[in-house]
Amino acid sequence: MKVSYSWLKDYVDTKIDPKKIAHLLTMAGVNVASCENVGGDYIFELEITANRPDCLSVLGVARELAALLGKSLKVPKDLRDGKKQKAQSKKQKPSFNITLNNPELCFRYTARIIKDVEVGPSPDWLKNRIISVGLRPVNNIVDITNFVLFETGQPLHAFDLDRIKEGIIIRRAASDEKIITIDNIPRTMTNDTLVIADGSEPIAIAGVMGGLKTEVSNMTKNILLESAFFDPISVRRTSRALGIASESSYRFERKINNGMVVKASERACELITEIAKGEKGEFFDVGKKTSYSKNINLSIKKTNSLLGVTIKKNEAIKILKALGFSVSGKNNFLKIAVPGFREDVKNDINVIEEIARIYGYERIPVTIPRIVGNTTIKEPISLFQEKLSHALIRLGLNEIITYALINRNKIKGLDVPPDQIVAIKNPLSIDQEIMRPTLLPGMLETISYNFNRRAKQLSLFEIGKTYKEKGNSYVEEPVLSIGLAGIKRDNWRSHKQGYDFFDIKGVLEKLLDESGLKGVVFKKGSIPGFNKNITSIVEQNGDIVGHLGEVSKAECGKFDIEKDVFYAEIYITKLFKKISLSKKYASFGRYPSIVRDVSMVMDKSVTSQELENIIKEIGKDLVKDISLADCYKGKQIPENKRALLYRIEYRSDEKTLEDSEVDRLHSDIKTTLSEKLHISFR
Amino acid sequence: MQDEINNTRNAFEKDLALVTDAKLLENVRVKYLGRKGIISELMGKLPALDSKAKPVIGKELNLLKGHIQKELEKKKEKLSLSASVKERLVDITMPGILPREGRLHPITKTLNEINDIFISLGFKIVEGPEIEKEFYNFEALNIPLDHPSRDAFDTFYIKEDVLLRSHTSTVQIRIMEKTKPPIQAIMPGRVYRPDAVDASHSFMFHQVEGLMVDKDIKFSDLKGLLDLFTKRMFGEKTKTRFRPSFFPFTEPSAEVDISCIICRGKGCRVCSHTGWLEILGAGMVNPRVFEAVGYPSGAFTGLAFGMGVERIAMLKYGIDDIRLFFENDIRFLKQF
Repeated sequence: MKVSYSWLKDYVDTKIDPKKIAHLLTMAGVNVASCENVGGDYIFELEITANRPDCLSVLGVARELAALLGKSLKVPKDLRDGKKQKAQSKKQKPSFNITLNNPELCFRYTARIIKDVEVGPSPDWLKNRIISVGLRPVNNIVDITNFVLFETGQPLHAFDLDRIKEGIIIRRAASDEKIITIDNIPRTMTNDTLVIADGSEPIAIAGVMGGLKTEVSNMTKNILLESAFFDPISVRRTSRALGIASESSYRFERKINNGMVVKASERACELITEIAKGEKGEFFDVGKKTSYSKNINLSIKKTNSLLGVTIKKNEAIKILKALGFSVSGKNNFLKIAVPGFREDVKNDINVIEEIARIYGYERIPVTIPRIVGNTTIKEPISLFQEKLSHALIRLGLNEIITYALINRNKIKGLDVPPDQIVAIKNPLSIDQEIMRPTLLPGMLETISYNFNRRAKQLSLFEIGKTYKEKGNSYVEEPVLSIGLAGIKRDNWRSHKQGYDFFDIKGVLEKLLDESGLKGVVFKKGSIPGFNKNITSIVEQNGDIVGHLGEVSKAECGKFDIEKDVFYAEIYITKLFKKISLSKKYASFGRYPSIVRDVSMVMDKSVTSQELENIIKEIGKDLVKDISLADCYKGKQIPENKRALLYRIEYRSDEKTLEDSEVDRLHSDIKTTLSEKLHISFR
Repeated sequence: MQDEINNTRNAFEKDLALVTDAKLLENVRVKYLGRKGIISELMGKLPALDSKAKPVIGKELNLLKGHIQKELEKKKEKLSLSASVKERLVDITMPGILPREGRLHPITKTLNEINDIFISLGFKIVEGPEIEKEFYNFEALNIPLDHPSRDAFDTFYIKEDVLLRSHTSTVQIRIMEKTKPPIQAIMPGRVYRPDAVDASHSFMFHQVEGLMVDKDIKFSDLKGLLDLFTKRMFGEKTKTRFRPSFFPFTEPSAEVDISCIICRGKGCRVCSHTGWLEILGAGMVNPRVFEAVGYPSGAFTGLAFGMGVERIAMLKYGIDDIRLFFENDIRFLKQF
């Protein structure tokens, strides 16, 4: 909201520099976003928090300022308390009918007839006030209603009385009922819309905007001045449903002060009779007359102990009185009566905030709270995730963070069961339609993004959640994704070799080893979105903890990636259940070991795993290590075969092995390999 | 004869001095020591000398021969040494081969830094779900339905009463439902708001929420704690400023500004020439929140605060576009 310095000075005597005023207001919670010199006056741009509708008025802001400066607030006489409104109680039959059909949506409706007005341009002082708050002057009647709205925070509306047929009915709109609003736009309403209607049709959307038909124009002679109290929720819903946010709806949404309804009407009426020479006519007042009131007991001791200060009782009283509260009390308790315009103040904590605000947060000392001893600092699974990411950066991978909301098309072809997909009801774009069930799309997107920017070497990982609907609940599971693409190294000495499957497998082996997980098996498998010949499922004890492989060309193509991408996903929760992070020292043996190489030629269908299983089976605990030393498929090797060179380390925990013992064992192994897997030796 | 010997010695010294490689050395050797070389030629003249001069000249000649052999050997060694040096010539000014190293994402780094400061102050870390019941995001935090205070929390919905949390304050409720005070915890996590993406808005971002509940937590404790945090996070000289504000779940509430870390409070573009940067929302836990989690009325007080991790990372690293965090350009990631 905009407020000018000169308008504020109508209610507070001050000569203080506007910049200083801006600072004071800001430090009291009335945030001044900017303070600019406009034609000799200063315009404050205020950001009023949702709890302070009273500050959506110049008078409200002036009250704050007066309290801060220790000055009194000069309230115009029509707006002062205690002035009794002459109720329209004359015995004569009213000339006009007002029917309130929905008191649950309109708490109070008042209307004043003013006759024989001279509609015309406003005087300069009024025009200036209207311009200073960012509005455009229209005519004296409209300008006065806007002036009073800004002065008091009470929205007003003037109808052309002669265009209202047969009185006023405040009712719900019929469904699909139409109105053309003063901005000349036809609006269609629903049964939830509260309207002000005459005998034939709606003439205003209650609390939001008036209708074109009854708009005050230069031809207008008699007016009906509305000042009402509409239900905040109803106005808010209507304003959102129709997409109209007006100065009125903004204030009604935040709840107006019923105590100001009649006073604001009176103030506007006085100005209209003065400026537009109208004649004050009948006044109608339907609905609730009482305004918000609340009595609160406040303990000064509690105030001081909650804030950590020593504010004296008298200072607290002074602050509260300046803000419009009535205060009485004895000893260390205050009895506080909350004024109608401060419906946000409902309990003693609210009052304490009022005291603290004006006293000044900067005057509250700085202390350190008592520290509590927490026995657990982080969840074990979080610690495990940290361990994984640190291992990964050590292995040269860079962490990425991608959006958890993705386009539905990005998982097409990954065979995610549709009933597991978590969809967003109100996405802003199709790129936020669903929550990711896998981290693959985010990884591919990142790889594509970087290749398009000429990156050559990409080794990336992400630890993030995947989201699935299971039955009636939602499962958020942390997952690790790893992506390798492009060339392995990019420097002057080596820049040719690309990543392959064994690079990503190696990363996983390293991670699983770090996790202390034994007995991991990489099984050949099939996963949608992967090249079926180069895909593996990671299993331990029959449970799947992840998968890895080469992303299929079709999948890469969706992201415009031409190069090979190797991807792995580890289901962290499942893995975490199996691991043991405690490290135990293992003796490396007191007796010497003997190493034997075995060079084998075998069918391509024989797997390394099968072969190792046999070596372990025969070698029992004398085989301490089996490592693949070489692999060749050269000219000397037949087309359907391959040759592997394995290095076997034999060692006993009990004695020094004799060569002859090792020879015998080694030859047993070879015999079994040859019998079971038809392996020949070179 | 003696003269010839002397001349030969001198000539050899001169020839040797000109030798720069093995080939030239061989030429010199052949010239002096070869089968038809000078020494051999001189030796051939010996028999013609008289018996008195013969042993003297002969000795001289042998000495010369020995000398030449020794010098040639020395030269050979020298040459082979320099040859091997030439073979191993390395241009040590070429760039080194860097060992591969990865980096944590700047958001993770910033989060870790925030977490570590609070851990050192005795806080524990608690996480909560991102897909939440509406109750935890709103009602329990004293944010009623259809109230303008919801405007600040536009929210993605999944179902009627299931949403993506729009702030990490949800986890406050989840902790308090399960735990009796004293509580001292921070709650980092991802949050979502349907904001159009631009340089300073993202529909997904990270927050860290903090909560302390005990018998006698004061507003001055909140000031002290956050002042300490901002000094550790942004440097000892950082000043804090607490401004009254409004959050439905705290009362009194405050916005916390720090003196601009770019201009040190003098006023610059980053702080919109105010000298201050808003980085935290904070306050004393509203008793209505205690009520929602079933704590006995008046038994406890608490402080709570929340901050945006992207905002802090942007200030700390001088990043001017929030989208950089989620584009994951490798040239960006490698800088942190």
